[in-house]
Amino acid sequence: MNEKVRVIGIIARTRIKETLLNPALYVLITGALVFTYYSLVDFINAIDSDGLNLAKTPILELVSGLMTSFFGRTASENLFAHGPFLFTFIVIFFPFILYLSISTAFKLGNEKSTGACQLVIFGPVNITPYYLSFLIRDIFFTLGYIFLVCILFTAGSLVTNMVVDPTFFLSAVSSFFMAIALLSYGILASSLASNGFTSLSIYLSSVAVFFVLYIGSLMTISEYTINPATVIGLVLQVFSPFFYWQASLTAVEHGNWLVFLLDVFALVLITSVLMVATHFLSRIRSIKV
Amino acid sequence: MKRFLTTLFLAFTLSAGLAAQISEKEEEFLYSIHAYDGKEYKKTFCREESSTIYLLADDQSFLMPRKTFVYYDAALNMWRIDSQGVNEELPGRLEVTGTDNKVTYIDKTVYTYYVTPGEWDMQWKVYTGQKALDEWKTFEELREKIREEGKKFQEEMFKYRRWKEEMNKKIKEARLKGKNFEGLVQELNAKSPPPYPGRIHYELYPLEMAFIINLPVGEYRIRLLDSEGRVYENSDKKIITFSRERSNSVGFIYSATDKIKLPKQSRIPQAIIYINGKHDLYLRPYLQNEFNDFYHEKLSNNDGRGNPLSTKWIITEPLYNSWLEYHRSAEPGPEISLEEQFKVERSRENPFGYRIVYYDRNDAHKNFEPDFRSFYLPMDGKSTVIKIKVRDYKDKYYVSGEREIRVVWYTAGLVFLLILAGIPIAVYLFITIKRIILYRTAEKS
Repeated sequence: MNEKVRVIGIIARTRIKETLLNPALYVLITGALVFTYYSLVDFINAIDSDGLNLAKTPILELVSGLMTSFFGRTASENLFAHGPFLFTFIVIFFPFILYLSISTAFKLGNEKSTGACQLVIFGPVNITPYYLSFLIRDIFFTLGYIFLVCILFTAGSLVTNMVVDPTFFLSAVSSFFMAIALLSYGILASSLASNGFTSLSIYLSSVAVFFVLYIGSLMTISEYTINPATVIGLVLQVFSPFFYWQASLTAVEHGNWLVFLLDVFALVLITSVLMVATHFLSRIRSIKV
Repeated sequence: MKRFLTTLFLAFTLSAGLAAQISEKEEEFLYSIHAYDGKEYKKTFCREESSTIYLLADDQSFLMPRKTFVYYDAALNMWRIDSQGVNEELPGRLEVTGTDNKVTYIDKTVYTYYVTPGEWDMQWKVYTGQKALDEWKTFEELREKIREEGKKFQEEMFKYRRWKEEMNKKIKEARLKGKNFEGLVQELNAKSPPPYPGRIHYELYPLEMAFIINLPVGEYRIRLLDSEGRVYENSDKKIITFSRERSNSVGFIYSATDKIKLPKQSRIPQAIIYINGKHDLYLRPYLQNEFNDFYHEKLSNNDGRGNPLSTKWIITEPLYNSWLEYHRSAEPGPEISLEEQFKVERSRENPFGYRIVYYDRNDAHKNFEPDFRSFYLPMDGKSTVIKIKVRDYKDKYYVSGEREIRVVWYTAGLVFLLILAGIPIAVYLFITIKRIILYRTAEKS
């Protein structure tokens, strides 16, 4: 057991080092910082003597208009109710998670096809620690990124007299677990595929399905219709990290802490189930060296 | 030829555009709906294509089945009724079936309703049956009385003006002839114009026959039966009755001195109000209830769209007998603001501007009504955070009656974010250069 933990630690460290040497990470952080600056400045420019007037800044007006027409007025109001931070966080967080998950799915699949992972895990361990090391790398960078964003927002709020609401930090917590569940899907996809492109295709397709279902569930509708497609959609939502993430955000807004904890627990459960599934799938596919 | 083709093209495109504005009118069975939305009565209708009617649970709403023309107005993006051609009210009984298959029958009842005017005095009253008939009779009598008074006033006013003209003429003549006209002036000033007639402060909705729906939360099926028990075609609909998700939360309507006619709302409890602090604020707390967005939108407009996962706040009534406690960060302790009445007057300094003054019932604004009632919240230019709380006359704080007002301004300190943005790139360059140096050193050795 200790040997396995040691191996996981070594591979995870190597993965972290690899990622740190990749320019994409730095470009993403720089992009996030620049966007945060523009978002805060735009928000301040939109503040009038009688409150927020989004029509004063084209970008925020566009965002608010799109939100209102697709998801209703309340969704737009909720997004900016406590300031610009939740909106900024959503915009800068998703590209980062997409980058991490794509790199995980592609790299794992690629290393499987080239036989690199066989070389790395040659020894007293099976493929599972190898997958786990990727998960640890993803947890490390997601936590680091959220921590950085929280520090950045707190500094921004101190300078501008805006508030990083306590509910924002709770939203960040559920976002972290949502991200880890999404990243686990990337690991599962790579365990199913035999090369990088297949792995990436499986992962992106599943995320696209979840994302479309998520956006669909938020949109304004004119009539409820129950048909096989809606039933399949409802069933698929049970496996979607976006579904529990949205539910946790609503719970935070309503101050319903029990529901919030249940949603976070559901996200942890999805991650665990996916990792266990990855473990068994890799065994079935006999990747053990 | 070229001109002909251009004309043809324009004719086709313009006619297509015009044709698309309004769809063909079709005669349909529909339910006209007067639905109570938690604040007021909304009028909408349920077309043949629409399967469900949404109503507020445990409140009276009215359904009127009828046959009339329906068309789609593309310019307004909505379905509309054209009752000029056909507008046939359909007789019969309404059969209501609950999910427990319990069937009840409702007969049409005469009803009316009225609302007292004024933004803050919206008191809806609904009368049904004999009470409605009595109320309508009283209203008609009152209207007739006012009409008579108005007629009498017109005649007296005409006489008064004629007399005034005559008196002015006499005074002018006396002045030209050098005679004493003080007596005439005194006589003119002594006689005042006839008093204005009384007016009705409300408008009663004309009597109408409708099915009164007042059901608890749930799903029901309805259909219209004629006198022989046959079901009208397309009358089968589902009714969904829904209730408030959260009730009696406190929201605020507020406006700044420079935008007094454009009030904004702070509906979400615990939300932050960001302002630039350049003008004083006028706030008014009110009670609000939260409803499912989809249900409420469909209640207001049966063809509307809503978000089933979202909720919306609907204001119900202002908080009377309340105090506003505010604590400005530059001041040592909290202060109290009482509800006051205000009048918007034209500015003396700037002909295009206005000023807000306290309403003076006895003197300056004797014959006028106040423009609005609010809690005045002055900006001191120093405080950056103002915490407000509403409490009732028993000094008890209202749940969710708190807000934080933050004065926000642009600061050069924000540029530090842009400076920080350079750090990741700098770190990457540093790592890369260091690696190149290490690689070259290793290569040399």
